[in-house]
Amino acid sequence: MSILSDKKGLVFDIQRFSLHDGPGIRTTVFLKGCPLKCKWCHNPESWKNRFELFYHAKTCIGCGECVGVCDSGAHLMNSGIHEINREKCIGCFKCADVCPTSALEVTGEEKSVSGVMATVLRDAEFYKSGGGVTVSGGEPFMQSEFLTELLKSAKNAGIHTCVETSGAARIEDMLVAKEYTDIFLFDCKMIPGEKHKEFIGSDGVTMHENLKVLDKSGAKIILRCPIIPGVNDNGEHFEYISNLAKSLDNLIEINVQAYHATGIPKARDLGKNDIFEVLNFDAKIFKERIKNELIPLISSDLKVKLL
Amino acid sequence: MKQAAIERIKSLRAFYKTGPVFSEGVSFNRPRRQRLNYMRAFYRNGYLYSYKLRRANAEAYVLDNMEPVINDGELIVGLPDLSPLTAEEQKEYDELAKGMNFAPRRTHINSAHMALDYAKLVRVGVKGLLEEVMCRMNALDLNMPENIEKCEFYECCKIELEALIRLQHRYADKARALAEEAEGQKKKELLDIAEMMDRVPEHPPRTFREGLEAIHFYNVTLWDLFYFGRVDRYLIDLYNADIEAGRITREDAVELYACFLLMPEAYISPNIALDAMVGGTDESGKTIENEVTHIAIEAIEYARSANGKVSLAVTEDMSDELLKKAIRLNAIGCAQPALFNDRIIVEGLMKMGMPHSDAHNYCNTGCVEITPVGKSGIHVVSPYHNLAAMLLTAMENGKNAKTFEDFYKIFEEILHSEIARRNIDMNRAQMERARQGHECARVSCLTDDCLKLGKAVDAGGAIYNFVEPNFLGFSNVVDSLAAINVLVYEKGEITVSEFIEILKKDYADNESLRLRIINKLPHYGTDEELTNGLAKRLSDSILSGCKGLYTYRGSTLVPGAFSYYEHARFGKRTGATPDGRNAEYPLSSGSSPVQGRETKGPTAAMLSTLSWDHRNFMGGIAVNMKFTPSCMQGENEEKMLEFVRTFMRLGGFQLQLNAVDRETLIDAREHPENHSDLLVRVGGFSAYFTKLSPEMQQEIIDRNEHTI
Repeated sequence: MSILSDKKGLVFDIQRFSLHDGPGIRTTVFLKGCPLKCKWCHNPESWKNRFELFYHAKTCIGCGECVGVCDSGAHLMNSGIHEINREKCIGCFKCADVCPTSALEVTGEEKSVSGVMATVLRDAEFYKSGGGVTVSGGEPFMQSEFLTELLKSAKNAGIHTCVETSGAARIEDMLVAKEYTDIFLFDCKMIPGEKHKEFIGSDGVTMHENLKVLDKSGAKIILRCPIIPGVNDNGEHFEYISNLAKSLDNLIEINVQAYHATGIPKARDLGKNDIFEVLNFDAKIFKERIKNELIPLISSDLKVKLL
Repeated sequence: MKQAAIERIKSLRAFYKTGPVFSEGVSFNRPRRQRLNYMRAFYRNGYLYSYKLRRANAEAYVLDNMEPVINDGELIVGLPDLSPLTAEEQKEYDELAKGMNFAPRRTHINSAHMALDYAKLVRVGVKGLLEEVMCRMNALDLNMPENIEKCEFYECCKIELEALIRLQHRYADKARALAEEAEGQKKKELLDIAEMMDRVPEHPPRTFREGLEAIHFYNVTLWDLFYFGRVDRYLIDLYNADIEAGRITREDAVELYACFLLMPEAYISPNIALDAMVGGTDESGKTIENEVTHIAIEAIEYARSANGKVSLAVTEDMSDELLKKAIRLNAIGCAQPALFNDRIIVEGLMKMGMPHSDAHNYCNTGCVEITPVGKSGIHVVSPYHNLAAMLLTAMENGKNAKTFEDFYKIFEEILHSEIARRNIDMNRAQMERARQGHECARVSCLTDDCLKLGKAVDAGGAIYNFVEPNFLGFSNVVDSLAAINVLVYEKGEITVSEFIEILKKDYADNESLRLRIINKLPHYGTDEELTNGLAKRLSDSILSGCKGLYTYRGSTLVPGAFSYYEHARFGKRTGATPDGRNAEYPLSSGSSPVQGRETKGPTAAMLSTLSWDHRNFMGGIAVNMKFTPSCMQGENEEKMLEFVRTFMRLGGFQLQLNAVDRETLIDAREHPENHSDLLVRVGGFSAYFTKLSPEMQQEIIDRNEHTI
C-alpha cells in the first residue's frame, strides 16, 4: 500500500449494493461536508465537515445509560423519558458508545483511503458488468485531496469510478480528479440566478460554468436533476435542462430524480429547526406528472431516465 | 397465450383452490378414502400373504376402487377421490387405524422425497416396466434361497403395476361416458382425454401432452412426495416431434405445462413443493437449455401454483434471456423458480465420490435437498438438529471454560455426540423399513438398481442412499458464539454462568444488554471477519461430525442447512440465545443471517453466506434474499442478473429471490426489529425500509399494492 493511500477523510456512510448511482452494482462512499444548503437535501447529515450526533427518538428505550456517561449534562431523564440538550453537548460522543439501540448515533467516521478501499474491494466481484465505486456527498470536492486519492486508488485496483458532484468546487480540483473518474454524476438543480441562491445557497453560475469546462475537457457526464415540487417542477426548468444537455459534448444520459421526503426525519434527528416540507405531497402523482408532463419537454434525442 | 387458454388455467386454479385440499387441509399422504380402502384390504388379506404382499395387494385394491375424477377444463387428468367419509365409514376408519403402525414412532425417519426415473417411464411405459419385472422374475431359480425374496419383490411390482393400468383404462372409460353427454368443444376435449388414457402411462407417450400425463398419472397415485427430475431432458424429443408434425404450437405447450403444474394444487396440502428441475448440464458438461426449459419456466407465470414448482439449475453458459425470465417471475411474486448452482452441486456430488455421469442428473426434492435422479433412496431432513439448543447445553457444560477455544471444543463435542446419537435412531428406522417395507413397489420400479437386484428401495435396492441430517439455527449459533467470544472472553464483562442466568430469565431486566448485542456486536450477514470465520468453523464442525458415520444401508451422512418452516417450530421450544434472540422466537431461517441482522445490504449478506464451502452441504442450503419488486425490475433487472451471476460464480449453492409483499411491509412497519434487512426502492435509490419515516413507509406500502 502506498503512503498516499493513508490520507484520511471524513465519511458518513458507505452504501454497498447501490443500484442508482451509476452503471451496474456499486458501492457509494458518502463524504461529509457541503458548501451548499439545498433546502430539500435528503442527506442533511452531510452538511458539516465534522462529527455530528443523531438522536433517533423512535428507537430510544429510555434506559438512561447516556445520562450516566455524559459529563456535560446534555442528556436528561425526565420521568422516564430521555431529553437531549444539544447546546450543552461537547461532542465527546460517549453517549453513542453506550447507547444499546443506537438511538444515539455518531454520523461521520474518519477513514483512511485504504480503509475505505478495503470495504469497496469486498464487493469487487459484483462490479464485473460495469459496476464500481461512486463517491458522493455532501460535496465530495470539499475533501478534494482525499477524493482524488480514493479515485486513484480505485483506478489502480481496476475499479470503475463515478463522482457525484454539485459542481460547487474549484475547477482545478475537478480537472485533477477527472483523470481518475470514468463518469461524473453532475447535478443540475435549478436555473442559475436569484432563486437558485434562495433555495441552494449559491447562485449556481460557477457550478454550471464548471460543468461546461469539465465537459469540454472530455469528461463523461450524467446530468442528475432533482425535481422539487413548487421549486423547479415547471416547463422553464425542463427546457433549461434540455438546452444545457444539448450543449454538452460528452453527455451519457439525464437522470431525473423525483423529490422524496427521506431527509426530513434525519434533519429532525440532527436537531435542525428549519425543515423544508412539502404540504400534501403525493409521491405517486408527482412522479406521474414528471413522467407525463415534464420529461416530454426534454428534447427527444436525449436519453432520459426517471429514477 | 390465447385468451381461452388463460381462462382455462385461471378457472382450474380457482376450482382447485375450492377443493378439500385447500379448504380442509387434507394431508398429502394418502387421502382418507384411499387410506380406508388400503386398511380394509390390508386386514382382509391378513392371513393370505406375506407382509409385503399384503401391502402390494392393498395398494392394488386402492387403485381398483378409485373413482376416476375428470374435472371440467382439465387437459391433464388423474386425481384422488377426496370425497368425505360417511359417519359409518369414519368409524370403520378410526377402528382400523388403531392397528396401523408402519414404523415404530420412536424411530421415525423421513419418507419419500425421491426423484424417480421418469425418463424411463417415458421411454418404456408401465408395460415396459412390467415386461422387465416378468422377465427378471421368470429368470429366477427359485431353488436358490436368496431368490425367494426377489421373487416376492417382483410379484409386488407386478400386482401394483397391473392395477395402475386398470385404473388408467377406467379413466378412458369415464372420459368416453362423459363425452356421450357432452357437446361441441367439450365433447372433443373428453374424447381426446379418452384417447390419451387408452395410451398412457401404459404405453410410452407419443406426444408432449401424453408425456406430461404419463408422469403425472404415475406420480399422483404414489401418495407422497415424489419428484419429476429433469423434464427438459426427457420431454424435449416429444415436444420437437409435436412441433415438427404440427400437432401443437409452442403456446399450446405452455398451456399444457401450466395445467400440469396446477395438478398438485388439487392433491397436496398447500405450500408443499412438488418440483421438476430444468437446465443444468449434460454428461459432456454442456448446458441444457432447450424449448422445454423455457416452456416450463414460462408456464409458472400462468399457473401461479403454490405446490407445482419448477427449479432452475443455473450454469455459466445459460442465456441471459432465460435467467432474466426467472428473475422477472420472482419479481412479480411467483416465488419461483428457485435458482440452483449447477457447478457447485455437480462438484459437491463428485466430492462425495459420485461419478460425473450420475452427478449431472440431480434434482431438488422438496426444498433444496439434492438427490440423484432415478437411482436414489433418500431420507431428507433426517433428523432436524437444533444447533441453538446444543449451544445452550454447551454453556451449561462450559461454565468453567477458560478460553473461547476451550468453550468451542465443548460445543463441538456436544454437536458430534448428538449427530452420532441420532444417527443410531435413523439406522434403526432404516433397519425396520428393510424388514417391513415402506414405499410402494411402484417407487422401486423407477429407482435403479431395484429391478436389477430384485430389491425394494427400503431393502437397499437403490444405488445411492443418502441420509441428510439437517441443521437448524446455524446463524443464531454463529452470532451467539461471537457474542460469547466478545462479552465473556475478550471484554470479560460477564461470565458464562451469568450469561446463562440472563438467558434463563429471557433477558428480563437486561433488555439493554440484549439490544446492545443486536446493535453493536458483530453478526453473520454483515461480512465481518469474526462472524464469517465462525460460520466456516461451524460448518467444518458439522462436517467432521458427519464424517466417519455410516447409515444402515452403508451410505455416508450428507448434511444440509435449510429449515423449511421448522425454524419456527423449533424456535418455539428453544430458550433465549446469546445472540439476543428471545425465547420462543423462531430460529434463523435456513442459512440466511438471523432475521434483521443483515444491515449492510445484500452483497454483504451474500459474502457472509459464502464464507464456507457450500459443496459439502448437498443436504441443501437455502439463501433467501428479499427485495421489493422494483429492485428487480426495469433497469434493475440487469443488475439483479449480475447479482445472481456473481453469487453463482462465487460458489453459492442456491438463491431464492423473494418479492416482498404488502403484508410483509406492514409487518415491518409494526415490528421494525425483525425487518432491518428489508431493502426497498425509494425514488432513485434503495434504502432500508425500517429507517424510513412513517410517511415514506406508507408510500411504499401503497406502491407495492399496485406492483404485485
